[in-house]
Amino acid sequence: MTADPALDASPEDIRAARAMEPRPLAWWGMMLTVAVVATIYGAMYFSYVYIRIGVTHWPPEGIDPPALGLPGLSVLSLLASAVAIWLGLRRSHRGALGAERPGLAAAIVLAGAHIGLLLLDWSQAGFGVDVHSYAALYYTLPTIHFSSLAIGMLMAAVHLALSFRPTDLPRRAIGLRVLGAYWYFLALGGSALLAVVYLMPHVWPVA
Amino acid sequence: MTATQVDLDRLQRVWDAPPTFRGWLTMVNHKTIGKRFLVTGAAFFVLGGVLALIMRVQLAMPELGLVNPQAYNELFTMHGVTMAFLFIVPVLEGFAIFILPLMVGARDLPFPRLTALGYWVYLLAGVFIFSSVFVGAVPDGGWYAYVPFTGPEFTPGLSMDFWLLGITFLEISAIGAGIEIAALLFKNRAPGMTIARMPIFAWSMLVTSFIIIFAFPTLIVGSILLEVERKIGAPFYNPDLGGNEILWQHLFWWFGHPDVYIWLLPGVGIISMIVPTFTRAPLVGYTWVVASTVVAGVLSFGVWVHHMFTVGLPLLTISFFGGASLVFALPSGVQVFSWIATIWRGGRVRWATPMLFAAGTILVFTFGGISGIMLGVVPFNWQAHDTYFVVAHFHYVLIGGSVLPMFAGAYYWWPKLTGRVLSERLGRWNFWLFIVGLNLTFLPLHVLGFLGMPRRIYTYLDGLGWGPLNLLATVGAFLTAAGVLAFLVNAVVSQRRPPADSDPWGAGTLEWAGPVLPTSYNFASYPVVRSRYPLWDQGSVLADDDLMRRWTDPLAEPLHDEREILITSEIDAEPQTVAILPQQSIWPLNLAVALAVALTGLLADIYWLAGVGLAGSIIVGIVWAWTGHDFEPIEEMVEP
Repeated sequence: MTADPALDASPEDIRAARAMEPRPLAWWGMMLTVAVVATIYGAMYFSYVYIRIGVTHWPPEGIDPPALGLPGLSVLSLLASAVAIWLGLRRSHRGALGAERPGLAAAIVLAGAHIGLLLLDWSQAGFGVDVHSYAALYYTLPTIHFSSLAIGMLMAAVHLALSFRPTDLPRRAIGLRVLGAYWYFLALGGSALLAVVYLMPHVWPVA
Repeated sequence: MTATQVDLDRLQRVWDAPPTFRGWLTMVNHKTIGKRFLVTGAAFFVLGGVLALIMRVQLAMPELGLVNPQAYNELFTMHGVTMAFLFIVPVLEGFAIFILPLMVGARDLPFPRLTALGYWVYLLAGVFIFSSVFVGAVPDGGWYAYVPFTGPEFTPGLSMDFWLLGITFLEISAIGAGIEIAALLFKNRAPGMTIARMPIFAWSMLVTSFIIIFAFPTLIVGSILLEVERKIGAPFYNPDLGGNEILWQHLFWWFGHPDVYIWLLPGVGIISMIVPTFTRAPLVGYTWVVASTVVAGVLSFGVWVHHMFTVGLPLLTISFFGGASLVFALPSGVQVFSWIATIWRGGRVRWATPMLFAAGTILVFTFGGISGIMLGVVPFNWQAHDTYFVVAHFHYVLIGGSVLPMFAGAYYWWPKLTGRVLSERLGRWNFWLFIVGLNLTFLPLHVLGFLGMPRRIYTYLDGLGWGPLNLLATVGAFLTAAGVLAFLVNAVVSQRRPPADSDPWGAGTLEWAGPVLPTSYNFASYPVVRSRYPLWDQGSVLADDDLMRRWTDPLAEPLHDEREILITSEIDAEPQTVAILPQQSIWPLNLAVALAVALTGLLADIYWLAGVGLAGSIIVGIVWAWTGHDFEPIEEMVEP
């Protein structure tokens, strides 16, 4: 026994320690990916506001300001999906096999509801994407957000499937943290995006 | 512990791909992928150069009719697209992908399948963009694709769709490289390579990676909006329907100006590696150079509006951005004076070809920087806008800041790439033809700009007096091309030269520590770094104490035939753990092909094909995630 515990570690111990690494490679990869996605969302906020500044009436005459009921529920559903992911991660940290499954499944369902509610809102909007820049932003920016979220849902589905494989625990623990980081960002970034798209016509209707 | 021959053979086998066609398709090793980037980028460089030569012949004399106006528009657009997107960025990434793991003492990049995906995406995106030639829809709206000219009203057809979809596709490659280079430099440096001992090229690539991460996505958004406008009429950029055409310029130049530093900083980093080697003196002002690199990276996001001085923005806005642009003289000056001071301190310079190109960089880059200061002055910018002065300026900056360092880097690291040193004799022909040619080409363009010759015109009238200077520039362009030809000849004939020594230049950094041709695993026992120039200052780069050996030596024996890498802490590079990298994989190629199919469907409005490509991408993505690496169960983690 030496004074430094690292000297007593066997090569196998060192290899086993990889699962305990506080910031594994995948975590760094995801943090940098989140920076990329955050820049995409930043560019969307900028585009909306920049176009808005150049127009007098928002929405343009002939289009009513959007109703907030369905979009509000949609945002709540998105935020709830992030909570579900967080609960799934917390349960998995306790080490129980498959403990993350309910959280992941709930997150996928809630994210699906988030998209579905907004699609329902769009079906009632009554104007096409090509009538005005307001309409173009109204439909396109959330669609880009949906694409990002679909990737997250796919990742969650893969993790859900992986949870039935018994030999993948360390990898899954890292993977879940990585998924969580991505999902938390989408929940915040997506909510902010919908707030811009749906609240701007109410708070700044005339420039 | 010393690794035995048996261990090394086993390591080689674990880290290598089988020598079969499938093995060739599935390779993920950084050295193979890096070389592929370099070779493909060189091919696009030649292609872009040929396009430039055709333009120069057309402009050699007044009123020539070699090409018509439409063809000329296509030529300058594809020249810009090729050089900016398909040559400079991929080649610089190729250098980084090949050399950085060796330079920082790592066995590979942290996400090898992403490396491979980046290459396949790059190759297919290049093919996608150039396939526009075969359907007669070559992009013709400039490399900057300004709206409303590139919108559905003024450029109908597929030409700009090739640009928008192709460039967006290509950006996956650049962003992927940015992510993994940053992750490599944070987590995979050799033990002891603290952040204050990191080579300058690594610093420049770290900053470049962050610029990529924060700059490229805005072009993705801008391109998606423009493509949606072109396909279904959503009027983001159409003022008649509430859109704003200036939005495109903001989104493009938020990407485009930092992109200039994505082109420059790696080149600056390469020169900062070469100058110390050929003067046998550590770089003077290391900390200042690092600081100036970081400052340049941050400032690069604060000056995009200096490309928009003439669009009618408020005077206060353009004054601010004009001032910010002038501030760039400070970090650039620190860099140049650091090189000069290092040469001064070394006293005795070895004027081998890499050093010649480094000296050429200092000269040309400084000249381009000075004309950049001039363009940062708003009234002068208004005067010179859209003239050949601007063309001359940015070619001096880009050739000085990117192309000359690429040549320098190619000559410097050629032994690591091929095991041979390039011919010095041909290298000097390469250098002098190129340096004389480029100055002959672009110096006259400054004067033509002062005389009022606008950019992007396919010909000019005889009486304007621009003919002699244009002819001179054309002669210079062919001399430049001859310089490139000398390099290509050198690359071929030098393969017959004898194998190089392991460190033929007597360099001090880690990439020269092993055999001249790196093994598949780069390092058997991990090196340990105690200096910025470990090969100069350390007797050995092997671990020198028991504690460190417990980390570095066991990795010479791959457990379960896995690709093991050492993870170190972000700042001090202290060993933290061991991670496993995935083996070779066909899925990066499959994903790139599926995405290309989806884009082709979108391009041609064949939506079932786009659906097939998208579904394929999703399936491949799932398989990718599923087939990463299966860890053995660790029992302690299984307890409920």
